[in-house]
Amino acid sequence: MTPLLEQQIDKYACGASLPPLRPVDGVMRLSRMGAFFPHRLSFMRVLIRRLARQKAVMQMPVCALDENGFGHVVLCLPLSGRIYSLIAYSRPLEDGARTDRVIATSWDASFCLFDGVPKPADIERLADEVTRQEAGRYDERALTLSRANKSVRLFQHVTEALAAGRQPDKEQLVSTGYLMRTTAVYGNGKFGIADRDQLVKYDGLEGAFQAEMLTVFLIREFTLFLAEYCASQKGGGTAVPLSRENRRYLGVGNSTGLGMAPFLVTHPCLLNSWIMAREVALARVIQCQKASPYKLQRAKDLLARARLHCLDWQVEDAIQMQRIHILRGELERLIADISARPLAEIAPFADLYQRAENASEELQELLVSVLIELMPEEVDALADCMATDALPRLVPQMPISELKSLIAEHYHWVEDIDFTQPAADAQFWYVSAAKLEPRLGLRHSEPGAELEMPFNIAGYIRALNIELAEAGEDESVASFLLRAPRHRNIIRRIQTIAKFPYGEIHDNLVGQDCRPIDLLRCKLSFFGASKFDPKSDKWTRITLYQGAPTADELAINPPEISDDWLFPLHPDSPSPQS
Amino acid sequence: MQLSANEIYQTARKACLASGYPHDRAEDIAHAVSWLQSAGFDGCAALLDMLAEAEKGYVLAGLHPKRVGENIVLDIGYLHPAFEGIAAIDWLLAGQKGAEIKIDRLSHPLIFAGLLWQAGHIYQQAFILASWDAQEIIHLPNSDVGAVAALSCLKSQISIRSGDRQASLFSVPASHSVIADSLWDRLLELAAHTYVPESEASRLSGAGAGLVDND
Repeated sequence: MTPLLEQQIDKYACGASLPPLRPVDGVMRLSRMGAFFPHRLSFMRVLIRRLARQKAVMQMPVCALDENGFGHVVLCLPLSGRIYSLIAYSRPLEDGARTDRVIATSWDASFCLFDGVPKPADIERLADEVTRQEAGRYDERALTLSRANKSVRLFQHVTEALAAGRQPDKEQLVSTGYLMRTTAVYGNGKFGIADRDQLVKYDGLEGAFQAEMLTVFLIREFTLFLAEYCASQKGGGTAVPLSRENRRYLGVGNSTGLGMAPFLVTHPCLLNSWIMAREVALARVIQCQKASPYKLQRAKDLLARARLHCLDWQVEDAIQMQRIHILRGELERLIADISARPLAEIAPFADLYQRAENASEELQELLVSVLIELMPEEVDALADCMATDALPRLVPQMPISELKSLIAEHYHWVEDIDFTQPAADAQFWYVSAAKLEPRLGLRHSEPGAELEMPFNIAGYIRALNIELAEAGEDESVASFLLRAPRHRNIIRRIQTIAKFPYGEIHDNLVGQDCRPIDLLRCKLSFFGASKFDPKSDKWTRITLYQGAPTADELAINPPEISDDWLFPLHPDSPSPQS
Repeated sequence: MQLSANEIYQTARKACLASGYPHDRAEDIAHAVSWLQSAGFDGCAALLDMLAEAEKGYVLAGLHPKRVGENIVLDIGYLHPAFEGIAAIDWLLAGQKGAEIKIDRLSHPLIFAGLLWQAGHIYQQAFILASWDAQEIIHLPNSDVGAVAALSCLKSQISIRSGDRQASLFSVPASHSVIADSLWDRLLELAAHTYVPESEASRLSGAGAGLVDND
């Protein structure tokens, strides 16, 4: 065994001894990943907890909007002693130019998260760049870029209602859930903005995607402000602000497509750290031998809230709607079962989890989110383990015999694929010449497969196995690679996965049945997105920060209240008490 | 033009792919180029020089270590960083006792120096490079980046051995760097060869497709 592999993380993670975890082979299947729900380790939750703990107070040092709400605004938020500012530019946009497609070149609003408080010269200089997004150039003081379009119908309804002195209609709020939707949030050095390696050293932005999450949080603040501002311009003294409940209910919409999916494949170490943290959290809760009456009641309350949330969750996609119908029924039955037959006194949460062992993956993964919620004292510190700078690395001294064992242990799922069938590699992933976005093509009928991204993991394993059959058992990987260099990429991946086992998806990513939407839901659940609303098997709409406290609540609410927004409900929902 | 470290990494990686390098080698070279730029070297210019050679259809020549007395030696007549270079570094990192690489001709030494520096950091392993006449000895990684400049002057008759394992090494943080517009345009041009023209079916399945957006 090599020194590297002696550190196998099936024993330790984040410096702590690991409880028994769910098997990788069960968790890392696309169908299960495509059933994940947001949870308390989701990155938005982590950010809100940090902001609430610090009682952060947002300020608006610049508001230069005209009577129609066009102009610019600066929102500043201190985080761990450093000030971050969202510069928001609001512009008129013809209906014909409003598109969520990534190919758009103009938007209702465009944003830049800025390091510090921008001076007037910064705001003026960035105006020409930020409003053109990808076509602009930036420097390290720009931390992220984003843009958003109004949900025209809801934005208009909300401003008209507020201008007339009344709150917006509940049905309309529920059916949309946001005033604007973003179509991209760019980070990590894109177009000259700050590199992620730099950003993670900034106070308050440690951890996964925290700059991006902060950007969207401030965009939400901007959308709420803009709606109230437009209402006050229209209604004058008659206008009223949004009620606290409605403010909380409104999130930020987002359209997300294939651009997000390859990230999970190209960042196996990071994917492992996300999934591992969630699995460790689940295992710790399940191991809990005795629960207080408060925690038992909290479990029931969360299930009741989840039930109402799922009743609000309506989508057009037939497959997802069918799953939601099944989930609703299962939740009803589970809640009734717990009423009739209380959870076991010893290991009650293991009992709760086991009661769903024959249920759908949707219910099982919803339960993961519920269970993780119950023990913040065991779970929250795991958020610190969800960012890693580890990269795939070759272990050149490894004997071939050990490499073969790793393949047998971590890639046995490849044996289930019938490579003689065209379906085995029916699709290929590529980067499109239009806006450089990842796309999925049909290998046997579309051109471009020679430029595919290296996602045919199963195919590479199969090809490697054929050549390994001829290699000496004691030969080192480095020696093998001198005559078979084409396998270096997959060998490096295999050796990396041995250390980061939750970093590999155990499904054929180029197979005919691969549904990219499952990858999207997994990643979006870690962001904390709710109301997953697939529009095809390749893109989805979601809502971010729905139910989260707004900035004006952060300094007022006790932190545990600010942190309680799993499964958001619309303001007029019946009480979710069980 | 000022560019972020990640822009340089991604564009260099794609330019390597467009020039026929396999994914793993494209990634390693791109990391080295991005690091060279952050460290104040003209990594992008060196990369373009190297890629011009790759366009001639370069492939990795078979390499066979030989036992010489107590040592095991990998003789490399001509070392191209992306091919023999990466293979040689892997072979050295395998830690075989008495392992030594002998290079008759070294092409694109700056890129090779970047690869050695990167590998040294990842594996916490120093490398000792010496001219065959032992007049010049270079340690990489080192306490400053001057050793990279020294190696980039060497072009022939060099031997490399593994040095001591190093617990902590001098590091250069990723940072923005300035690149001549003409060089950057050339890299972007190369990178563009990895993009596939979008099909109509693909366009219709992208995010936001098929909906009225004024809803």
